[in-house]
Amino acid sequence: MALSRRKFIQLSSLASASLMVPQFLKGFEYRPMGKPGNKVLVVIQLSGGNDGLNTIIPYRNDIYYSSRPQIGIKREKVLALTDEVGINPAFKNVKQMYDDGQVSIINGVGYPHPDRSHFRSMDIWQSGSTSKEIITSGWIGRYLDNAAANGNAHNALAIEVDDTLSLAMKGAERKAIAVNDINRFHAAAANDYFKKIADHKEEHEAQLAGYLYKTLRETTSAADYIYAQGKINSTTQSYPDTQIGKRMKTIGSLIVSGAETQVMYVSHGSFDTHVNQNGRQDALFTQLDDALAAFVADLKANDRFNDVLIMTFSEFGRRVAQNASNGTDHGTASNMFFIGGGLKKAGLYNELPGLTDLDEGDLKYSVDFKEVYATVLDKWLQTNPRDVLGGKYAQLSFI
Amino acid sequence: MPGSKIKSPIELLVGYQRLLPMMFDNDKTVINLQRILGQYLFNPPNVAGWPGGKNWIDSSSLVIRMRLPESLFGSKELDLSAKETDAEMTEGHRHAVTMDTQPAKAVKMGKVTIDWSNYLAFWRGYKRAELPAAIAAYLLPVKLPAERLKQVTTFADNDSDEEYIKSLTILLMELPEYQLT
Repeated sequence: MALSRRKFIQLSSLASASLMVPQFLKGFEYRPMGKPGNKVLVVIQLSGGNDGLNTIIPYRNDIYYSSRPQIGIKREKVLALTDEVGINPAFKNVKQMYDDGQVSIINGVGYPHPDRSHFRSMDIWQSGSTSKEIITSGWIGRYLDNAAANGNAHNALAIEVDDTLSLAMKGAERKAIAVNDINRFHAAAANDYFKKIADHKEEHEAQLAGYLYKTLRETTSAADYIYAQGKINSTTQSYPDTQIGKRMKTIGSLIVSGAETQVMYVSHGSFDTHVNQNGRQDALFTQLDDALAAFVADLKANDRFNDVLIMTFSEFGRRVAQNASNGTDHGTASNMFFIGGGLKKAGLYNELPGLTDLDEGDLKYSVDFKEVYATVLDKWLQTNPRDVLGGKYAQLSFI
Repeated sequence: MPGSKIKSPIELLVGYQRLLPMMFDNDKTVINLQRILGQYLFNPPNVAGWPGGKNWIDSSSLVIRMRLPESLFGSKELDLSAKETDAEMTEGHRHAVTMDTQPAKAVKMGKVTIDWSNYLAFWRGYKRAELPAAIAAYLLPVKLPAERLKQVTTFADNDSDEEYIKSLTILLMELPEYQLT
């Protein structure tokens, strides 16, 4: 029996629809598409160990002032968040966001058996390990591995705005793209020669050479993608002319252009304030605060603020007592900021660590940073945290 | 087996130096190159050392490795910054001195002087048509498919024998295959 043309089209469209469904659903589950609605995580790393106690300040606490006679932030200067707790006066724009219910501050974040080496502690935070194990991949990198295993292997799913890539962004199989200046990266990675040699048929070549060519192809195509996305939105928002300002502008323009990137990563520092802390910290906070103000204004103007979650972290906080050089030395637990239009619980998420119950002069942590990661992975990036972090961690309720 | 291992940054840099002796006006360039490529000697990330293997390669480090020959032996400026966390943070638990707190340091290559004489002399006597295959076999651990070698050759500078050898060498050193040993 011959099929009529109409019947044939009906049957074939049904067939293709049913074949499509599982993959479509799978894709939908793990891949909220770009453009409005695409949830983006922006990680801001405060390198060098930011002093959490002069960031979120217990301004009614006498122990705070007696431990820090020279560098304690004066009561009258602190921008009060509650009757007892305030924020560093350099964060005037963040304070405004806080008042608008767009900031959640998690206090006392750390991990058991803290390490006071910059490198080791940063590795612990970036890899998402405990202090007793060494993991050579990063937590966002493993998020990329997991996304690829679930069908989303977009080459620009995570971008670090820098010249080189942090451990956090390296998975076992997938790695993020490091781009400092979009145009320069495009010129470097997507030049004619590299494109020409990358573009050849798969050959049975040595396995490793194949891996390098694959990386090259992914890099040139990501460079093209980011370059094209970067051109879509010539933002009218003005950003401060600082390194962090320029980098937040790059992030802002990609988000507003509707790039399918889900994680953006940037570093700011150095916060290693052993000597004359207040001048340095004030300058760095002011730069960050101004950059965040411009970034948030840009997102709001383009109706994307609800889709973006900004997260700050540092490898450790600093000791409670100041040192003899009007600075502070390497310590332990510190705070994390979450900023965005889609917070479930804004404000101070929990209490500050006690200043009397110390561990050899250092603050005791109350929240393991991996619980924070688990929360972000599950509730923001729609990823099973266990696939990325290994163990099972309790979650918080700020998003 | 040749071509079965990715060169570490130090292997890569020593390989450059042995092939084409380089003199840097700025001594720090040597360290900055190590830092940018991810292997600052005597300064491993942790007690386990450098993870090595495929970990040397990500999108940015591959592009840097592929751009480096042109920057060193050609005329292109290299303009990259080492990371904050790679800066020489002073270790120590309690009474460390403050680290250098400038924002990420740009790598200023300064002037690089390359001694091409021995290398060019080595290839004297070869006919131009023989050079691509001969230089490729000399530089690369694996045999380059003829088609790809032809692609590479189309980018070479034909002006003189010397420029031809120099440009072919740089182009071949920029290939992914050159990252292997």
